[in-house]
Amino acid sequence: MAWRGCLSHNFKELRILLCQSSPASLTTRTFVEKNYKDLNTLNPKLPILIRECSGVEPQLWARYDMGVERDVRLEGLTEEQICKALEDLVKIGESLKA
Amino acid sequence: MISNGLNSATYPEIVSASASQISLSTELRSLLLAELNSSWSSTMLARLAAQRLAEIRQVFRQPIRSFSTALNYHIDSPDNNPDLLWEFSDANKEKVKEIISQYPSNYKQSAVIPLLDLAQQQHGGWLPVSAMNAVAKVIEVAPIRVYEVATFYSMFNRTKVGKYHLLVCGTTPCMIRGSREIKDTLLKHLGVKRNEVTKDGLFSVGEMECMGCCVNAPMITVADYSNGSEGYTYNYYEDVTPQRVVEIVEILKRGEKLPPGTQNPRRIRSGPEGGNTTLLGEPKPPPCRDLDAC
Amino acid sequence: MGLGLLASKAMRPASRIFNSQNPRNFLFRTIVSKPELQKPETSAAQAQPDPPPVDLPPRTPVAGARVHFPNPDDAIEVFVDGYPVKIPKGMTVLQACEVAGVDIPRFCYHSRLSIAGNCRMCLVEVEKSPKPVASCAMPALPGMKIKTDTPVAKKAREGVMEFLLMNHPLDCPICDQGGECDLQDQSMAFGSDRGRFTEMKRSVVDKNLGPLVKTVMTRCIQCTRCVRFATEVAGVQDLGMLGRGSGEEIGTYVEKLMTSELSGNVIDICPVGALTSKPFAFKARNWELKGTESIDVTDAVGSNIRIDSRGPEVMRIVPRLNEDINEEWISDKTRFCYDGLKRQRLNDPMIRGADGRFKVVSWRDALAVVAEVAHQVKPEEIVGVAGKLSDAESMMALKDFLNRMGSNNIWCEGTGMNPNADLRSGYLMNTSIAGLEKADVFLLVGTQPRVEAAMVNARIRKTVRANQAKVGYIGPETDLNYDHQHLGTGPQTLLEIAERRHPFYSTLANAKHPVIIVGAGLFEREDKDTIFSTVETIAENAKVVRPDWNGLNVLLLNAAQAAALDLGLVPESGNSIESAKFVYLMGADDVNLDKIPGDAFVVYQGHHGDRSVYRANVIFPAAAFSEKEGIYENTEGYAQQTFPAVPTVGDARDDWKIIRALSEVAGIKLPYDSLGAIRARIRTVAPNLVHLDEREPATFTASLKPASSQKITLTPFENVVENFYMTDSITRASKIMAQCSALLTKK
Repeated sequence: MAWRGCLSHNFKELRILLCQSSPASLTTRTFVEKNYKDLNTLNPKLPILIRECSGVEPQLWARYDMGVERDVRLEGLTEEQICKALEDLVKIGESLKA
Repeated sequence: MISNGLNSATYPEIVSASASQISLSTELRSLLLAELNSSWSSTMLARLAAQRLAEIRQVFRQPIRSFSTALNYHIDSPDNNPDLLWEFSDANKEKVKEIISQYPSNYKQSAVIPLLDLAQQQHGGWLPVSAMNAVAKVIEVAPIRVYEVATFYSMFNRTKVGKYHLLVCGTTPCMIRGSREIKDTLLKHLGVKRNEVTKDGLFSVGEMECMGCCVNAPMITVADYSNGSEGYTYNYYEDVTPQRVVEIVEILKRGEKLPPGTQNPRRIRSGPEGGNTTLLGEPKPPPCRDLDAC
Repeated sequence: MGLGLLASKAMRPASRIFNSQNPRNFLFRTIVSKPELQKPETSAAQAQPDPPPVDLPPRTPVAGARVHFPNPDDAIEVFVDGYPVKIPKGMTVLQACEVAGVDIPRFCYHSRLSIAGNCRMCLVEVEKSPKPVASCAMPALPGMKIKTDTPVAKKAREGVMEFLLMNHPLDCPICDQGGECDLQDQSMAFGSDRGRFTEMKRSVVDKNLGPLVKTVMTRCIQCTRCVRFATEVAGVQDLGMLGRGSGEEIGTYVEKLMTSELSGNVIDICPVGALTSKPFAFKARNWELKGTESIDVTDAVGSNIRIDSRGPEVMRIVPRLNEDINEEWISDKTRFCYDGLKRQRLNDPMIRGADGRFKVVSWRDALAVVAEVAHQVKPEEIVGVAGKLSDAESMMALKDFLNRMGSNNIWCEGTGMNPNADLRSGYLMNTSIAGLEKADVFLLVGTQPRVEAAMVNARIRKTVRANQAKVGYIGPETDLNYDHQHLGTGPQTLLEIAERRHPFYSTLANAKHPVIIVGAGLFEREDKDTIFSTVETIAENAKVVRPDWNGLNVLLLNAAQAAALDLGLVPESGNSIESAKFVYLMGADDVNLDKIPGDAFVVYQGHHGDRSVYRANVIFPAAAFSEKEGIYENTEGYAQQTFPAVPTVGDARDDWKIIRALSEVAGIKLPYDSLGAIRARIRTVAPNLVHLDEREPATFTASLKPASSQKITLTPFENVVENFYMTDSITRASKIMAQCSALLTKK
């Protein structure tokens, strides 16, 4: 899980949008509960914006340098899949840098 | 009831207002006269207009309403301003404690009237604004709550009064029995206007509402502030006549005391003049209660 | 009026007299306007029996009156004009009538104030009651038969109205209340067409209540609403009812200004023209004004307001009802800042010439100059600061623009150098403003709600009065208008509470609904992370944050803050401004200009020529909140939008449009051309901002955060708002606010 520590090298900002109560956002909510502390400790400078809004589809947004953004829809994904999606976003960041 | 002392002469603007009303009505009348040809209807109208004119005059002849209390707002003066220090005297501080102890601790503000009364007695019969502030502090309310009470009750004087504050009852029974003459006599004798203090600071004359002595009307009250709150008295002098009030004033001026109550030597308290006329014997019990008769 | 007309008017009653047997009729005046009112008791008897209440049309409650049954068993049924309504026990007859859809005329009754029952206008007939009853003060009893449109009730109203008008001057044509006057309306609806009073009307000396409230005390009808408002809501016991009988008057007794930050509300609650707005005096009639429902931006509360404008000018600001935020009050700053919108405005793009003076240029030139400079500096030397009054759209555009320029140094004023925007619960009022009413213990940490957010303070005061809630306050000496314990001045006290050494800790821990409010002024402190984690420790120990109750709140200071943090306006480096070469100030007037290097190029985009203009190289004129459509999120996370009430001044443009245009000139065109498009963009960043008129609560609490390892300093907390009346560029430009701060703020 070494990629977790390099979040701030590739990302400028990570945004997790989710609903406070809908079942579609359930896995995202548990993902945040379980991983936020870890991600924040490893990347203390990176803004990890968690934005609740009723009825919104869970999404993961990454902003890279020069305002480039990529997103992943998280509806129906399990926690492991969300982790994987995040890792993919990190990889995109690496490829964008190159 | 309103005194006749406030006639329209003291209120020039009222006179001018009524004069303009009159000229307006006259104009209207002449206008109507010019418009109407029929002499019958013109006299009729003239009469009506004259009647209305008389009514309007009547309105202005009535004394304008005046209020027994002083102004409802405070004006700073050297002897009455919030910067003056005012405190209850040491003796009165004990009294304050005792008064407050009569109320539940969470309803201290209920003591406002007795405390204002005490402050008034201590301060020679009137309440400067700093005394009201002191009361507010004691009962832990905003000063305005005390001002509200002090302005509501006419017994709280917010301007200086004499050492003997004479209050003439002006309510209907006393008025019918001649309270107006009594007041006029008092004012004339002392040479003051209402709520004004004599030069020697001894007397002032005020008016008040019914004190419940209608059976001995007319009556005056003498609030005696000459001896501070310890020697404070508030006595009724009943069945007074214009001559008698002058005598009372003179007695007080000499510093003598006068027993309160009826001033008619032929009456005992509120009993009828010349002794009882009814209920002279032992009343008979009602037959149903007379068990022996059964 | 011609002479003939006058005469014919005089003739008409005369001709009636000729036919009549009794010429005295000319002078006989009757007050009763309808025959059935002359003998109301008998005609009431004739009206019996009641028509069967079968086919009564359903009625809608007055003004959407809501009925809330705290306990369903306590419901009682009463009949209003034969129409049955279910109401909870303890409601008054007047409230029952409102639920039944009958509007009872009233003057002294106000739903948010205590009941006085002294105007008698609300008299209604109640069956089996010998006299008409004052419905505002009479509790409704089961099975009560209330009649509101019987001759008895009508005559009672007519009589009360006649009494009220006895001493009321007939100066409606020169009265500012004209057209929105309760007395005027109700005398038209319920009063008689004549009165029998022929004596002199009384007159009352006007009072000086300060620069905001104009008094014409002769018009006062002694309803005591203002006295009750000042005592109960505003918490300044200055007003009272003085004197008695017909000499009764409202006043302060001693010369005293009304030093409340809510004093303007007495203008709204005064049912007559006795208390009117001093700045608005003789400016306009209410029917000439166009009302625009908008949002206030002078503090972080987001009070709902109506901007009344005439042509291009904002004439006044009045509150709008919103139970969740401001109820029906607004602060004086909100109400009277509007004259600042007309002064010191920037109306043309300007460039500072070599001589140091500004020269008016076209938009094209100004944008070209800025775009060129922006490309000449390194991305990390670009810094953007959003101002206190910025809307979400413009902050989004600014952030996108700077991000695309390669810079990540953008923040909003007042959020500090190192803001943490990760969890919304960390900067929002999680209890919600209305939710504060449940609280029984408050702990205010470094915040003075009275000057920072007057409406929140009014809620706390309401709660303190209703629940006897205890308030503990940590911060510099201040005057809160409710009973409070001053626990200390700085972090020392906070540490004591956190370590359970302070007696207030047990008060907090024993509370059912404890509330901690942390001031946003602490964001500026170096040790803010530690202070926040100390507060979080207290919250955890005292069970302030539970699954059913989140009592840990942050009270923000300005309108833009919540949205800025939601949008992630977080600088990459806290002191980037010190090495900046290109500074974009979007309405930011409270940045420390000394920190900007001397060779930096400063762009100021804003609506007022305030502090930052003196440092600016280029000025972009923008629209003020009264001239644009923009989303603002308040301190509790409630997104609302303003609407344009008046046109923009001169060549000014909406903020987001300026940035959008600049981005095109700079060659990195932002992908939105309309308000809808930019809001769609916001939806991908903070979707809660486009959920308008809804509060989106935060779910993740601070417990997710790792502990802070900073060192706490023991410097005491400071005053954040020095002058309540002047906090931003609009209020600083306002003459009225200047008068207020000169007269009303304590030195």
